[in-house]
Amino acid sequence: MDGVGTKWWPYKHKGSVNEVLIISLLFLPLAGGVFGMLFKNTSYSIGGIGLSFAASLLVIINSIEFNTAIQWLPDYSLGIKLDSTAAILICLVTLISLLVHTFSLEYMREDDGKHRYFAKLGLFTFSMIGLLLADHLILLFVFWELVGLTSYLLIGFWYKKDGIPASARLSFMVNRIADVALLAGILMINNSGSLNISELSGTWLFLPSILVAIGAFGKSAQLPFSGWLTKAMVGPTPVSALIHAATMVAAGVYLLFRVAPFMHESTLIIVALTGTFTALYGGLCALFQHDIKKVLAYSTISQLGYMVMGIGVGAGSASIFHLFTHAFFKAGLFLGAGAIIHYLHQVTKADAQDMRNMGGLKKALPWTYSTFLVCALALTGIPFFSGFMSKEGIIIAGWEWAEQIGAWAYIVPDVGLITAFLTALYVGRMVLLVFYSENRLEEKIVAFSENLSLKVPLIVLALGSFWFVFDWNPFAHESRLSGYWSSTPSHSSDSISLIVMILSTLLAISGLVLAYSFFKPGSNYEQSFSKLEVGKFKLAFNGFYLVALYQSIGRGFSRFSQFTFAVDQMVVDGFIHFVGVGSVVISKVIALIDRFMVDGPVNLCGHISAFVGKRVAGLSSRDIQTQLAWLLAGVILILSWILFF
Amino acid sequence: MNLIDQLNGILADLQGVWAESALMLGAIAVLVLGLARSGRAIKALFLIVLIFACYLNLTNGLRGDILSGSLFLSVHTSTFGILFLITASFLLLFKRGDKHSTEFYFFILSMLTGSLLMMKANSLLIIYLSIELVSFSSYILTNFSFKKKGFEASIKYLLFGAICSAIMLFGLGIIYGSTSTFLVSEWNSETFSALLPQVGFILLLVGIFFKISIAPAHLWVPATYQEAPADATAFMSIVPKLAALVLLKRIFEGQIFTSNHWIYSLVLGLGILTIVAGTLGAFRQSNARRMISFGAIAHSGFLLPLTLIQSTTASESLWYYSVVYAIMNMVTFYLLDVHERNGIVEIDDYKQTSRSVWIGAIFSLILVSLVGLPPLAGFTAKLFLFTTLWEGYSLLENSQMLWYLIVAVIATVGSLFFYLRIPRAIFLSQSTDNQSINLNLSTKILATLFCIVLLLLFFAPQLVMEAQQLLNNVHE
Amino acid sequence: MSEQMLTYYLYLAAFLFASGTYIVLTRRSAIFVLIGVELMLNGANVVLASFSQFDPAMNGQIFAIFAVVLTVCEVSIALAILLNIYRKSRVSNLDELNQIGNT
Repeated sequence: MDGVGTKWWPYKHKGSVNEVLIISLLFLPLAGGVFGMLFKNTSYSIGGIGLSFAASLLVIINSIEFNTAIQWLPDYSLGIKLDSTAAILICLVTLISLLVHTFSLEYMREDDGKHRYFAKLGLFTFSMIGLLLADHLILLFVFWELVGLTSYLLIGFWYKKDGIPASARLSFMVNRIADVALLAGILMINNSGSLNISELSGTWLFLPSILVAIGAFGKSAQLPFSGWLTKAMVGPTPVSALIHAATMVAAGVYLLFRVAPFMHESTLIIVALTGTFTALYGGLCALFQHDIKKVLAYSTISQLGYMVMGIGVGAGSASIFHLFTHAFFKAGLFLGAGAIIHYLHQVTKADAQDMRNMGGLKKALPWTYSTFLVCALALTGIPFFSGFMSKEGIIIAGWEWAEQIGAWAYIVPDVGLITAFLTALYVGRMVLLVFYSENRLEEKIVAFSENLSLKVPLIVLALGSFWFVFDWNPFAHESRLSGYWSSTPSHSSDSISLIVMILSTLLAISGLVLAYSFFKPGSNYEQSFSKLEVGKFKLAFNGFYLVALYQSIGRGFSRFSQFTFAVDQMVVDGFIHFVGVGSVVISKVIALIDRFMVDGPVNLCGHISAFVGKRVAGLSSRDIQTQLAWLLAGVILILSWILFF
Repeated sequence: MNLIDQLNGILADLQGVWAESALMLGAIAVLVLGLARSGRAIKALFLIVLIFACYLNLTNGLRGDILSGSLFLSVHTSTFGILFLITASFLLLFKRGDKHSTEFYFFILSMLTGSLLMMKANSLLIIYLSIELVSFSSYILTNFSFKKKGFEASIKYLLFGAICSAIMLFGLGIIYGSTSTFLVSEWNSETFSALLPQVGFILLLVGIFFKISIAPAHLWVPATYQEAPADATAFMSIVPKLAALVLLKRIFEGQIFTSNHWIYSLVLGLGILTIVAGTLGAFRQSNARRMISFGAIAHSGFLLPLTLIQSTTASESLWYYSVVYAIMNMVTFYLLDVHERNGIVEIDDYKQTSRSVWIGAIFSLILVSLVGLPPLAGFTAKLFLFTTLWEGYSLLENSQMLWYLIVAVIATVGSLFFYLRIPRAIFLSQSTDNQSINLNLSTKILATLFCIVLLLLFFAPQLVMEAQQLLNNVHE
Repeated sequence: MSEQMLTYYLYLAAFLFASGTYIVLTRRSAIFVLIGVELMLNGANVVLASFSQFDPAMNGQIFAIFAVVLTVCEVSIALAILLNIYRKSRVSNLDELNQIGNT
């Protein structure tokens, strides 16, 4: 893809210049963040990320490709590779990051820790770019962990508030568990060949591929790991927009996209099914939340489900396309929610994230309203918006895949369509409850000047949610960008795509209509919403108790560790006691035999063993003699093992 | 061969034990100087002795059997010797009052001598003598906190050690009786085919396992590590353990067992048991040092299989893991010591330190390295270990290696949960009585330097290998 | 020395070792436990010395002498520690030494 840019960028084939470019692309956000924190000036951060974005644009325009390796251990050359897929995704990450930085300028203006905040954002952007540049699975894992760590730091940003450290910890730990699977998978693959992604070949066995998939499920909040994403919503809202909607959670999808060609085929089926059910799960849960960020979080889970499903059915290209469009509209929605929360914080003391405290905000926040609406429609999957194009691609691919696999496999596209309906329903509900009707608070709504640094990111993201950004044809399910990540255009039969398109549009519209009939201003539901109790929908409201499940597993683990502690204390004593009792019993038995057989020496043996048993039972595990008894018991056990076996 | 030739041979061979002789003479010199001076002068002399011993060790070019077979010198003995001497020099960083510092350094030097001899030992007599020399010094050093608990730990350690050495001595007698030789190098694949010498060999292993702290001879570790002075603990947890590992490697290098011999199963089984005991034991500990000591037990279990597998990878892994382990343990006990001086002993006490962010972050990184996560050298060490085990599994076709690998991986994950309790206490607790602890700048710089070294060794692991080559070839 | 005699010596060694072990495990007093350790070590010494009858160089007996000397060192260290303990807390029984452990 040699562009015209070659003329004014003469260094396209000069390795050293490109190296400098890549290094600055990677490190500028981090450097900006660190300098910003050192000199207490946010403009460093903005400058760093801005320059990084500019560099990534330069890379895209000139279609620079770059490939190098760091020699690490013998036989391990950690590859770094910038291909067109990585380049376009880096461009996306830096763009969204830049917008979030801009938005945060206003959002975090009053916060004491804002310099710390920007430093963490910089670290995050750095790690995410590193993840996309890494060609070696171990290098990727290092950045993967860094991304997880930054996410943890940012979730726990307001660590002084109640419950926030606990939530941060929970998200962190759930992620670590999946990461262990990923590391184990990588180590297994290590034994069969190169770990450089571009040098992978053949098909992996089932176990390593499912372990890698589990790692990706963890990062992308697929079932059963979905619970952490809603817990992550306690972080600052711009963070939710950047990390928990647009970029980090997409890392799992990205990894799956890279390794899908080498996956075992039953793993791919599992991946498809997991994605499908996660999509449904997220959609169902989103319907019953009244925290606006939780609605969006569950919606993210649901959309990630689509992407993972796309990978599973072999439509990696469509998944990355959906990742792309989703990044724009979901970041827009989150930043919109951030603007609302920011506004409510200034008006009221009530919970600023609770939709029961919102309503009628259309008048107060006109810009937020219109951009939010555009992004919401894109999420719904209405034609002429980006979400429609990418989601269609996945569902159509799912349909074609099902045709090959068998009748049962139609569950995948079917659930995809049902989720599309649910999506429309919850999006309609959210928009109606937040922006229409009258405000449900006692306080009066006041007009609120939407600051420029709030407005610009919202407008950019809303523009990015229209169809023309990706293709002039609003009914295409490919993008002009698709060439960056896929070399072969997908061929889908027109009849299927027509059916799916009509079906899903109808479902989306009927979802919106249904939402309107329930939640239109003045309707019963709308009126009683502010007093809504959780009651009936407890199951879905609590996300099917996934988090409670984690906690009970955690408690189980802590019981287990209590148990192992008992090994140090009770069991040792218990065993000794058992030995004591046992030898007393034996001595009694011996005494019985004694009466009938020989007296004397046997009797003495019985006494001795009873005596020893009593003595030993009286010792605690802190006692040196018990320890010695253990040692000798061990030696005797080993010796008798070799003598008798 | 006449007497003159014999004497000349001995004189020529003495070069191989110059370092030990220098250490022993230095130890006596420290005692003598202690009569007149204390504090700085002692420390300076200690350092001079170490540097001199280092020089003698580096310039010694002898390899193979010396002194009619009682010692055996190899790449490992020379490079590990340097590692031990450098480790000993780091003890000067610890804060140590003038009280009994003369005796302290004397016993450190004699433990060092014992450890160096232990690695080189080829005769059973030398093995026994050097293990006892190390043990006696350790028993006494455990007392050096001069508190009641220290004495208690010390007498328990002594009794445990005495029993182990009695068992080992019994085993040595049996081996001697059934092979009529004391020399390890005269053993061959026939030596241990009968039952009696096998029993003797197992009893010998008890004595060596006591030094490495392999289950079931690991029970002395928690109490001793908890109550001995931090610098002595740091030293004890590194040098004798690694020396005993090198000795064990030397014994198994002699090809006295085929790789599917049940001795291998036994040693691997005990290694797995050690990892499990160390990891599980650490979960519920309330005392920070006690928890780290259980971690050290688990590390012994990780190191053990590297002595069984005879390959270049295994040797390199052992060297790399040992270097990283030495650095990690040294700095861990250093930081524990610094905190204990401020009254922070239990894990819960670390909640008070949430103000000292820098040292907390460094401490957390070190612990992460102990767990074995990237991007720190602990990860590379574990990776080497896993690679070696995999190689052992595929080359020796010993399926137990695979089990070892699985247990080791699971234990690595499990160790995350206890090591990270300290960072959790530092960073994630809202403590009310937040007093800033008193740390001077040099502590911070030192800890940071160690941490940077761990990072560096992750990114450039070949440095450690090259260092081994270099240390081995310096005498040329 | 005949093979038969050797067997008796080995029985003696085993008996010394076993009775030493028994004392170590059962007696409360630290001094008695030390005596038990002595018995164990001397059992081992008997093994060495008796096997060395078949060795023209008599290395086993030399080893045994080394071991005896080391045992003396060990016991003197142990007594010194016990004396310190007794001074601090008037305790000489092992089961009363139970201060260290997990709280």
